[in-house]
Amino acid sequence: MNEFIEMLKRVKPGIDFEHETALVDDGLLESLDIISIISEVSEVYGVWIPSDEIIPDNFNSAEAMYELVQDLKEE
Amino acid sequence: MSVVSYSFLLFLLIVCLVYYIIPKKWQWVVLLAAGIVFYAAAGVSYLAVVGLTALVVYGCSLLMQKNLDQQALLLQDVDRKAARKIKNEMKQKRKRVLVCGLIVVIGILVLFKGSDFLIENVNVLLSHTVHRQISAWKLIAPLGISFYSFMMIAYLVDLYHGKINAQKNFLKYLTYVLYFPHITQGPIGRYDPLGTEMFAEHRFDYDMFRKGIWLMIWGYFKKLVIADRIAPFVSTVIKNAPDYSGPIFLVIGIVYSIQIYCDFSGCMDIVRGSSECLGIRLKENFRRPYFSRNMPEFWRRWHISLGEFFRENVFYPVSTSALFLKLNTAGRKRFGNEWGRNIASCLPILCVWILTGVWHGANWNYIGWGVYHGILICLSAMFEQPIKKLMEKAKINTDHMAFQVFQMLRTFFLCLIGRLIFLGNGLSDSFYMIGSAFSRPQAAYTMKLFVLRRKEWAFALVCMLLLLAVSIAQEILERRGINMTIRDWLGNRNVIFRGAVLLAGILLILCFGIYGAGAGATFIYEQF
Repeated sequence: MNEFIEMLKRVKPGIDFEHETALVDDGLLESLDIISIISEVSEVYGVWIPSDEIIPDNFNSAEAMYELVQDLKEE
Repeated sequence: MSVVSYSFLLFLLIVCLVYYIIPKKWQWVVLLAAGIVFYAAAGVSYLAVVGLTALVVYGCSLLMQKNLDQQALLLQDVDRKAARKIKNEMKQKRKRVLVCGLIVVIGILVLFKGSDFLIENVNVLLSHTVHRQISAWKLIAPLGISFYSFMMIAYLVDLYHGKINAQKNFLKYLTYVLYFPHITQGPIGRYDPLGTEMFAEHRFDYDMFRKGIWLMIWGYFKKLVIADRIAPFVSTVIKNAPDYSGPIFLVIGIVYSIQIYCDFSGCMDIVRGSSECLGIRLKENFRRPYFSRNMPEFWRRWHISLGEFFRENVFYPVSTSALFLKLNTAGRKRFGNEWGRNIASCLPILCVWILTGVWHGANWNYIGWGVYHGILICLSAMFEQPIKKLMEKAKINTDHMAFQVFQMLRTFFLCLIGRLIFLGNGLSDSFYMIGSAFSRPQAAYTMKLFVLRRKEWAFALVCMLLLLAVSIAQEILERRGINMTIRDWLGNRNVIFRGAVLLAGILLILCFGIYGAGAGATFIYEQF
């Protein structure tokens, strides 16, 4: 999880990924940031996040994103 | 039947009465009948077009649902690896059905909205080669075709992704499509949650009903008292744009920005209010967009349902395709995170904005307007961080109210230029208006040039200030995180105050609304 948060910070510096739980709802992550995260995830973890998984619930916190990546990895 | 007519009010009254009197399990039938009557009033032949399109979509939805049901059976007692394989295979089969459905829906949309534009441009090409011309078909598009087509597309895509279950009763599906408050100008309501809410049983809720009426009154105020009052000024100048010159075009841009906001958001208030009278909440389509501090924020607050549609159905699928993810990664490695991702995102953003322009109609002005906003969004993303750093260096407090007002005015100005592109009779007119707006006028301004009488302008200004005051109050409530609307606030006042506000609103609309031939008959977005 720590590695994952470090990766997120590389993509979007200046955000408290450890504690924020409404990243999308509060406008901290915008659509371009989400695309960059998806691109980085595909590069680092080899996991492709399909566009229908781009919903606020999956990107509102680092934990939710991590769980999504784990789910897709296990599939 | 325009929502700005006495016949609509009578129609809504009858629908409400029947809706709440009959057994609740049949309420959806009332909505269906109301939808058919409302739509047929615009032309029975249009009803056939929307009915046939809905039938094709319904057929496709049943096929996809069958596939999803089979998938659920096959997924029982299999491991994750096998499940993934099954899901991919089944999704491929659904894709074929999806493509067929999309071809029909988009094909009909293009036939009605784009055929003349295509023929016109093919003729331009033909005139340079062979001297033959294709005659225009001059098809009249069914009412609200751009809106209901997008609802159908979203329905098929959601089914393809397995996000919703298909409606198995065709008449219920038709009820959702023909739902009279949203069919002509949106909001583009997704089947989930709207379908679920629409087919639930609704008891008469006095609080919701009266708030619906208040919202309708507010919408009629915006449309009849403000938008229709200032509309003649804009249309007179635009019709003969080359006859005018100078900063009058800036005034046109400002006035048209207010007019189109009052026109479209006024309509949304009327339709949302009338839907709430039936106990069904429609999605908010506007959140005071002129208080936006930058263009991306503006487009999250203006025509929200259309923006969401394009983001989910065009921007995300294109941006997350293998090609664009590779471009994103390569771009970020080459130019750093910010610049790399922004450069890689430019093409999907431009795709979205050209399509948004075309959605308004097949016309070079709309396409130009789309490209203009696409470029602005790309530039906004590219310079967001550099400007932020510059502000920090210059020790400018960007959260200060004065700076926020500056940002809002800047956003408004950028929109204003876009409005002039949108408004022109051809792109050459638009370029002339924009160029001329910043040059000296060739003739002296007189009040005659402004079409309306002085006191009409004064009254319009007072109404705009009232609109601004209410909007500021709502904005403050939202920024302070207070979960309350102006309607909630009004609902908490005593009965005398509420009655006085209601009466004042009705009198204002009756006495100062613009009525008569040619007035209040159409909405700007109805033509899209």
